[in-house]
Amino acid sequence: MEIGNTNRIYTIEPVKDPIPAAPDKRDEGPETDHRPGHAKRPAVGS
Amino acid sequence: MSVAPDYVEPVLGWRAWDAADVGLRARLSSVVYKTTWPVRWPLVAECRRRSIPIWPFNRNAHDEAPHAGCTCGIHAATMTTVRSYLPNRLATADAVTVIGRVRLWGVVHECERGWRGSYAYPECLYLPIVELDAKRAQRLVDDLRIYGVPVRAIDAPTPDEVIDEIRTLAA
Repeated sequence: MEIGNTNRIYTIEPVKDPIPAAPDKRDEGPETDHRPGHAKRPAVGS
Repeated sequence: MSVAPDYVEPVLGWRAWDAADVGLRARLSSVVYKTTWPVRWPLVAECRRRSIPIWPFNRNAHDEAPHAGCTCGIHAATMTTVRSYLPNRLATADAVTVIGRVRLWGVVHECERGWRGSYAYPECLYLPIVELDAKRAQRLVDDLRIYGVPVRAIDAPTPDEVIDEIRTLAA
């Protein structure tokens, strides 16, 4: 998406986790069983 | 010494994804770079400009994304901007368009019609289903619920009406 030029830059550190908590560990599939610590996933959005 | 953040609440913006099959399940996929959005883990921005061999500009790598001299970062926009990028057909055999609101945080660039952030996670998802058979629509809704955010089916017949309905629901 073409969203134009940057007008302002700021930092956001959410006080509340922006990721919804898993309802129950037993419901998680293998995709979420190995949630890595703070490792970066290679990804980019556009 | 730590530097205090400017804000403590994520920015909310709109964007579109494809619901693309990953194995046997549908997952959110970025439209341009086909990045699969992780489940219950933030998407982390990384500049891929250097991975496009025909890119005519500066290919120097930068570790930080979004970067001021680039267009990298995870994009979100106003609903009007998102609408202008929607295809006339919101579903094909391979992919179905999903529209949703996304949370951005970390380093965020506020732009003229949206934002570019370093971390992102969906906040709510809307699946236009008018071109889908009932079985496929239900499977997609069920699959996308793994993200742990509300997923709503929208049966409006045209992209404009889909956007109108989403605006009403999200208000």
